[in-house]
Amino acid sequence: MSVVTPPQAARRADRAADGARASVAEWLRRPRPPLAPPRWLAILATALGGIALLGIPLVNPSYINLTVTLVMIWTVVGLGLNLLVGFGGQVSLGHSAFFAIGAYAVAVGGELGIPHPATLLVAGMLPFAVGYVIGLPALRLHGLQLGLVTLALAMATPAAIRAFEPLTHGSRGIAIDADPPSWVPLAHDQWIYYLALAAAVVAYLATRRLARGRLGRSFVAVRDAELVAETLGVNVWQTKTRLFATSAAYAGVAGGLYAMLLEFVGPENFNLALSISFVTLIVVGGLATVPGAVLGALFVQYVPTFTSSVSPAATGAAYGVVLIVFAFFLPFGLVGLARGALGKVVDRLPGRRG
Amino acid sequence: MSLLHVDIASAGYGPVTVLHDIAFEVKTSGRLVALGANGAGKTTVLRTISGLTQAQGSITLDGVELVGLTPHRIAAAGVSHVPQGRGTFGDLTVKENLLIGGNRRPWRTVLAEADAWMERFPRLGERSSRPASGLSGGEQQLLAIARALMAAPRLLLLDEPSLGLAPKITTDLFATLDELGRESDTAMLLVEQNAQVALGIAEDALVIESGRITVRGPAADLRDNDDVRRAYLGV
Amino acid sequence: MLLQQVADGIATGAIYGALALAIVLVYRASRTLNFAQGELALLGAYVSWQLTVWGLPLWAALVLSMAILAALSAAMERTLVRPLVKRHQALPLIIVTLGMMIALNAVIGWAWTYQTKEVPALFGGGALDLGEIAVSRQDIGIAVTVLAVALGLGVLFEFTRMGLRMRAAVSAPESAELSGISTGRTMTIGWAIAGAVGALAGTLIAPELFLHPGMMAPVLIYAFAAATLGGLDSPVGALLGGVAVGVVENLAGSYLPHGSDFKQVVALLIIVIVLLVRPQGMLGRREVVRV
Ligand SMILES: Nc1ncnc2c1ncn2[C@@H]1O[C@H](COP(=O)(O)OP(=O)(O)OP(=O)(O)O)[C@@H](O)[C@H]1O
Ligand SMILES: [Mg+2]
Repeated sequence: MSVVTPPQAARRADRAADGARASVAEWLRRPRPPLAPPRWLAILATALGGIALLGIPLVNPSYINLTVTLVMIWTVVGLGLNLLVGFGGQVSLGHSAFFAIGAYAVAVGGELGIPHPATLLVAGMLPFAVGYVIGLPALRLHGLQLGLVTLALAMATPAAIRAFEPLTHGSRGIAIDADPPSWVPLAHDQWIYYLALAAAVVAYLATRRLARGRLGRSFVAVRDAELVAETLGVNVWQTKTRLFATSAAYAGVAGGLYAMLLEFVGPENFNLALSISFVTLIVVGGLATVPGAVLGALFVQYVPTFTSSVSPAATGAAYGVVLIVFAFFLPFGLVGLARGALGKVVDRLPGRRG
Repeated sequence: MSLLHVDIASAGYGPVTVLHDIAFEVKTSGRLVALGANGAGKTTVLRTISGLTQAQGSITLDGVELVGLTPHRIAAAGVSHVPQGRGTFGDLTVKENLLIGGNRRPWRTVLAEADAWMERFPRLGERSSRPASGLSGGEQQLLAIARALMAAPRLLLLDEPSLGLAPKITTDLFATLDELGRESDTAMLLVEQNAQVALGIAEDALVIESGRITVRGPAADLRDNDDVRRAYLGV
Repeated sequence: MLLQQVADGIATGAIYGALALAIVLVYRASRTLNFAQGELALLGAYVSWQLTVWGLPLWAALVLSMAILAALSAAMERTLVRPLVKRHQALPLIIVTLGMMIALNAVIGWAWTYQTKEVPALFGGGALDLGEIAVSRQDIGIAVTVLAVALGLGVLFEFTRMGLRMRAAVSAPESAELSGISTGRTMTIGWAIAGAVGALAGTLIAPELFLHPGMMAPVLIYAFAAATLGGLDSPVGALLGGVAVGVVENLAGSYLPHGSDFKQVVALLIIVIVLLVRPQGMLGRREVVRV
């Protein structure tokens, strides 16, 4: 009987341990836990960083303060967008629209005589509401469709701003007076700097809490296996809408700060390129990482100033190439790279952790 | 002389290993049936042969190594696989389904053979220019088998053709299968849970449990084997 | 007046339809959207322009440009898209085609500057008087060309062995592989055809919009709207959707207050409404969510 062959399949133990011959590409792609520095290092770094951030606007000329403020504004957008894309797995190419709504909330609110720090609240709440309304149908869409809708949204934003002329003054834009209240002994650039710093710190801490807490875990559960999450009692519908709205609110606050910083808004500030730089930000920093927003913000603020001195095309080329390279080789961005490079060193440092 | 030699240490899906130390042969023009409960790994055996799942080890067809080849190359080497469930192209017409089966052969022959199939099975012929998704379960299974045979394969892999079919239709289908096999000299590796009919048309049989071969022998012997009778024949 | 608007809309709509067709071919091949589709078409327009500057007749330049873009698009599929499709990485795939979109646009700006170029109309100037309405020769030429290409592709898909293989690969990729069809190859061919059709669309629309690096971005959105309307996996739907979008856009531009601004919002509205009301579009297949 030819079928009856003795089980001659040799016991081949040729499956070498995975790690042994892992290629560089695999090493780069591996997900890693956050760095775990000893407590003394964490406290020291936070203290030094805090002092530096508080001191910067007092000793620097206003154009430096301006760029650092922008970094903090981009950080806020990035934190929110990463919540949606990285933790939520829902792509948005349209965050420039929410950024614009926040900016115009401040501008129009100013025209109506509402004091500025108060308009900043509206700048967060209005995009939250709009994001909620958009998020309702958006949760019925999956990946690509949401990408499509938000891309169209980004493309339509400048035109929509122009079309709402009575409110937005169309192409002429709106000038904003964002001087500090009289009881604050700061110049305009310093005032906005501290507002942005406060917003960035609050956003950072809130995002970290969100990402580590129950809500963050339900986001990730919905991202990774919607149906499974649902059977485990996560309300997918609510999770997705809230996520979208929260993410939009971050962009709105950032947009409001942006308007106050530049003291002017016009439709052309909020084009597709802005949305794309937001996406680049989170991809470079690292999807689904919280500190990634800071590194990404530094990238989108300082790389264009450098590349535009090379050629008007260089910024686009740099963003494009970086997006492709990171999507292929560095899915966890610069933060992933830092974790891979420093993880062992940091783990070896002596001291109590917690 | 054996057509197919299977000798694999392991096979599975990514980190999940499903098959362990599977070794068997299929004779030229022979018929082998693999029995097993749900989740035993029967489908995985067929998927491994046709290159849809990764395996460590060796699978040769007429001396040609198949492990590491892409599925379409394995198909070109002479293996036709009718997958579990509806193996038809639902949006393509019945005739197109047949033509696809022969897409690597000379087109004239293929057109003629497709016509011959539709003449032989009027149920297919009548619906030749309608989408295959409109056929009944039994007709779809027949179409899938016809499509696989259109490739003029050396080896036909069939994954639970009886699945979801009424007993009468299953019996007819297996009779047809028996007939077609005799005409074409194609070797068959048939995976089934319906041991009764499957053992009826096979020469040899084996039983897979949890990814390992536990029983093997001539089909007639397995029909008399008490364990097999209890587990797969419901007696 | 209304009839005239409709007639004008049909010609632009044909171009949206052609680009939508490219989007659909890519979607059918790889189940993704190529956000760089518009920039590939733009590159096609620039290559055509460059070749005419070097002395080639426009039709020859167009054919050559279509061939070059077909090769480029196929190369993009092989190197950037296939590995991610294989790993089922949807988000990185979106990021990569987005990256291609920006990078290509930058390369075009760098190579040909940001100044507007004039592209001669393939079908000459002048208009035909058809009673109440006048239609330019170029518009008629565009509509006829796109129709001819669509019919050609229809014949390819319906009546050739390669077309049959491509449809089978879309219908059931695994069964197609098991039937000896290299689905990798059919994917590449799909991308190649998409690249060529895109180059055609770009070259045809360039005389109207004037050739500059920002030319294709709005067109891409209309094409996405057209593809969504027609059904992302339906080539015929893409063409019909294109014409519908072209006509609606033209009417919105002329009859609505703030028309020229509102036009841009039209695409967004079409996409949102279709996805909410009938996500599979007019002629698309309803997609089954896999559990
Ligand atoms: N794609 C997959 N990924 C991971 N595991 C899988 C996959 N497909 C099957 N398995 C597992 O492999 C084992 C064998 O599955 P297989 O489909 O080969 O069984 P089967 O004998 O064909 O069962 P059935 O009679 O139900 O078709 C099962 O435990 C199943 O859970
Ligand atoms: Mg099975």
